[in-house]
Amino acid sequence: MNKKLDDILYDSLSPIYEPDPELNRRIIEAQSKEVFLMKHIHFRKTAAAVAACVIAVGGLTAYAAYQYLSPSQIADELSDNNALTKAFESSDAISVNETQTSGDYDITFLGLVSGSGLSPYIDAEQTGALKDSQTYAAFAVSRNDGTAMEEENKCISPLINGVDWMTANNATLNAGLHWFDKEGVIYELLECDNLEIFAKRGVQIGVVDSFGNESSAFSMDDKTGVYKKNNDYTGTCALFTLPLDTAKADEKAADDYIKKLMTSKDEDEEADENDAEKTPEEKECDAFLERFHNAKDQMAFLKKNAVLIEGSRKTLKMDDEGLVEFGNEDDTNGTLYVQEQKIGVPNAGCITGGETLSDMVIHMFTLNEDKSVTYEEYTPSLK
Amino acid sequence: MNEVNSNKGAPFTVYTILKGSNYMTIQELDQVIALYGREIYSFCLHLTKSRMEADELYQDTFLTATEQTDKLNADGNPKSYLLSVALRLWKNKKRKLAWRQRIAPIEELFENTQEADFGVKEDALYDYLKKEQRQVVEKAVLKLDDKYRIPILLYYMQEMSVAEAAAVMKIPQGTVKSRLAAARKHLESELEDYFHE
Repeated sequence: MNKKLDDILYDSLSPIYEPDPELNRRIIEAQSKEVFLMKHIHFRKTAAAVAACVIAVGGLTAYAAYQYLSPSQIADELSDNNALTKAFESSDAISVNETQTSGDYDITFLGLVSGSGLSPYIDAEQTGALKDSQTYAAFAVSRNDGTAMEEENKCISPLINGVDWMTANNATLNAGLHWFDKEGVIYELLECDNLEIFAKRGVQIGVVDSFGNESSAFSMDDKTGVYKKNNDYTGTCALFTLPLDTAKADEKAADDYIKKLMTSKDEDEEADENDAEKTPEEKECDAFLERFHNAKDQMAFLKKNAVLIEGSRKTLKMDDEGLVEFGNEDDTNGTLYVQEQKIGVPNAGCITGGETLSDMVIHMFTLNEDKSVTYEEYTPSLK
Repeated sequence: MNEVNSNKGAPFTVYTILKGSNYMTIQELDQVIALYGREIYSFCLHLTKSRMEADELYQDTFLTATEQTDKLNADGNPKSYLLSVALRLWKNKKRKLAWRQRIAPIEELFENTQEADFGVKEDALYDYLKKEQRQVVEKAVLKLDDKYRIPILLYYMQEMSVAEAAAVMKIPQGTVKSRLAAARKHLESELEDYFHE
């Protein structure tokens, strides 16, 4: 039945449900208050820039690396300050000019530079970030038949040797991507946390069609930790080794950074920690729930740290669908699927409440052998 | 500002995505909603099992995405990014206080929910049977625990590969595969009676 099941699932789960038009209107309206026009058109008269671009008039010509804009010119086009432009012209910058072909594309790694205070845009709200040292890598992507690229920038990702991509990727390395198209070529500038510290480990840069493709396009050698291309991958796939100066490596900083990535809490917990709006009472509630969820015997935990709300214990009847209804119309009420609960094991089917411990209610459901359900409501003890 | 002096005579357009910036025009948001709204809404509905929660999650997903336009655009796969935002927001909400869990019967969940009109008309009996099949399957999928239901939705509803689903869920591919296998086994059993009638 497997193939048939697959067909049935694809067919029956195809997305057919539209949101209410009013809902979309509300979203647009909410956003209209925050609108910021970011798309802008530059007009520049720079003979040097023109000379650096290949003008393929009436013919199809592939581009050579020297014919692309240089990293400093790319930075110049993107920045509203000249810090990165100058950095790319300095002796700290590394010129690479390596081209790899993948399918229809020629992907050229033009160069990179690392340092502090090089952000292409200075935003008064982001001044803190300016002090952080970052790495900038410039790329050019063109079609190898000479036709113009349409708006199809590639995803450029640092890959740290020995560190799984799920741990160190654009999202976790604080990466940003700037890109523009000019004369049929897409120029891309990657910025991310400073990669020089990993120089002894080795860092590569992968280029794929979309974020997430890295896990299919590349794999890490079990023994050496070096990333390599997967031969059977059919999407865009280029892999460049960063020529980092090992003298600038900082193994301790690198180890600390990786450790932080690996032990960092998931985004939900980070959001909780960084949520400046949380009150002390809300934090108290979070702490209680964390202890509750981590308890080996949750009912024993409740018996010790919570009180049964008087009159809340009820015996509910499970319907043919495996559902029970609980609560009352004037207060919290709901329906819960209990059929697959372990018999005799209490389960916290629902937690409701306000922003304080006194408001919190933990709704416990225990499926009995006769298929009835014992329902109880607990609230944390207040000391 | 000066004019470009190129042989092609056209100016070039700069698209710049800034980290942590909030740069999305209304037109761009409108386009993103037009392109992905149905898929994201269908996902939210099956994820939350509540129309009210789905509406809220859907709205929060797009508004969050507009605050992280750099990630949306750098991703190169906006749908994947939107799905991962929806999943993160939902996961976060489930852990917080002050929410009411109400799992509506399936008929009520999808009742009066607008269905897309793909313009293809089949005969009435065929339509009826299709609709009945959908209801039976959706009901079975809704009964799955989140950790099995989510990969099923990403794989079959959103037509993602295992790798893409793993990236959205931020779990290893092997875990996605094993959860899909377990979910399929359960669904096979759950749906056996219906499809062998």
